[in-house]
Amino acid sequence: MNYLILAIVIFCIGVLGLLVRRNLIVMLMSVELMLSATNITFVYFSKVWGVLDGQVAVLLNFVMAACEAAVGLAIIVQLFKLKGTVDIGNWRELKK
Amino acid sequence: MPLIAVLGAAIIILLLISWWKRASGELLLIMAVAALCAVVMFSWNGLLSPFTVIDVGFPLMAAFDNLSYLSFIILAIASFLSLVASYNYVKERGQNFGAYIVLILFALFGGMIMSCGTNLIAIFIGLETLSLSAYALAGYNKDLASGEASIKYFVLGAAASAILLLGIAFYFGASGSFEISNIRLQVMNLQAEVTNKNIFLLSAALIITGFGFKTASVPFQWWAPDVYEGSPLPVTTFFATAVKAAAFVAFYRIVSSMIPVTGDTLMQAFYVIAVLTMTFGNVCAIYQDNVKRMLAYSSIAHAGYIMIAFVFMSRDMIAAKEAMLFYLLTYTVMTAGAFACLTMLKRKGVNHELTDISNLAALGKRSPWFAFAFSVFLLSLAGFPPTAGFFAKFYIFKSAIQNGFVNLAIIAVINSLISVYYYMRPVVVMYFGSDQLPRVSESTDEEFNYSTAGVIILCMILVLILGLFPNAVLSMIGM
Repeated sequence: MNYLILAIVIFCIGVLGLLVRRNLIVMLMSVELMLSATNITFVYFSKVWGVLDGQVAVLLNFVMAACEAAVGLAIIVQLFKLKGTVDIGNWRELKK
Repeated sequence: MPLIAVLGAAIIILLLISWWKRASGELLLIMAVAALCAVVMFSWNGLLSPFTVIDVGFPLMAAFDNLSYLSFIILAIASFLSLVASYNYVKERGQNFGAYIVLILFALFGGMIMSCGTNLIAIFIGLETLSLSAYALAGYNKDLASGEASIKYFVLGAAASAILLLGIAFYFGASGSFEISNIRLQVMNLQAEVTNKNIFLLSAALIITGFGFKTASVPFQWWAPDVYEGSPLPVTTFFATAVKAAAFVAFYRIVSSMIPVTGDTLMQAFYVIAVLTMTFGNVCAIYQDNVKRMLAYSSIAHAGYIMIAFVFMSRDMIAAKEAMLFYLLTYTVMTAGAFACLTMLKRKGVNHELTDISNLAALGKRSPWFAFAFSVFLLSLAGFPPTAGFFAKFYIFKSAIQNGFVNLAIIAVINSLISVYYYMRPVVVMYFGSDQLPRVSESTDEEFNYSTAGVIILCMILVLILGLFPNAVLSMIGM
């Protein structure tokens, strides 16, 4: 149960970071934190049920997280080239 | 087989464009279209053949039943329409068409895995393949609006994926397996253990949140108008049709496996979501002057209508599936048509999209056929009788009433009446309204381009066929 509480606390930190911070890189890190928290949950439930499925899922999640970071960083780099900042407060091209 | 065709084509085109820099856009487009035709043909075969692939010696993690085959066909049609409509769009802007095709095909592959997967991890991987391609596609125009759309979609989409993944983790925690069908076997155990049931409800809530983002339903819809407005037009078509269809089919599969455990609890949640989604979409769409943004809100409203199918799913699963698939098919065709019409609008030497409503002024005089086609799509979206949109709505409302949700059906009908107002506004502007709105200084000049015109004609034919002979399609879905 402690593992679960840890996972949920980390997940909430990730959500909070995503909502509060305005820097795109930090927001990306927060998303990664959420994914890592999910990994802890997978491992915990895998231990509870005594099956390996959850741990295999963790490996797949690592790959997913890496892909997501790659695409996200590529988009951020492109935005930085266009505008010269990674602060999302400066992005208001589209109607709010 | 359909999956292999798409993946194979995507990889071949990827290799081709990296080795042979001067490969012509036509050749690549023809290859992609051939792959999509192969998907439709294989799926059609699979639909008609009595065999179902169940056991091939290793865990397949996928079901090839008529739900998957039909959604393959819907997804292939949606990708076909947005690919062909984008040919001129991309060429005029001097962008790399090969990479565009590859991204669309990979997204389609992800969508197909989503719609046929029976394992939550497989569905999640399909979803990520679809989303990662979609993030890149949203930023395909190298301008600020497109970049902003891309980053908004990326940040919110990644957060939604993480929430969905947490939901999957709790699902695993409650059932001990990622298999969707496995849960049914454990219903008895779950009734006994209250803790497990609570974990399961938590996972259901998280999964609904994750898919709510992907299908753009209230209260997770805030990204949709901005992303739809900022993305390139053909890509918006793809988001509104293929991405949404794949998300709904996967959502249907997961929810149908949850119903034995949760019973009517989820029904109330879907009731609220459906009502809020369609009301929000319709009310906000009234205030839009940008037709693209208006169509984005309308796509939120249509997601609300489709959610009605999820409400009565716990009563009648087969009717829900048929209503949802028919709605997705008609919605795909008419939305793709409407967006293709917007793609046609442009002025010489101007690269940005002309989607403001004033650009449509007096179009009925300048190009009557084009205005007529656009009117048909808008009428269909509003749900007027001779078109496909009417029967899709009729079918979904009828099933809702049959399952005892009369209030919900009344709310939905009132909503479609509201929607008539904003769908009629472009039509009025096109035929009568050259004076109401400030005119742009030079008139818009629709250059005829064959690929987009072909898409419009095809969509038009499909809308009329689905509207005039809905029974043929419905009997196919009900097989």
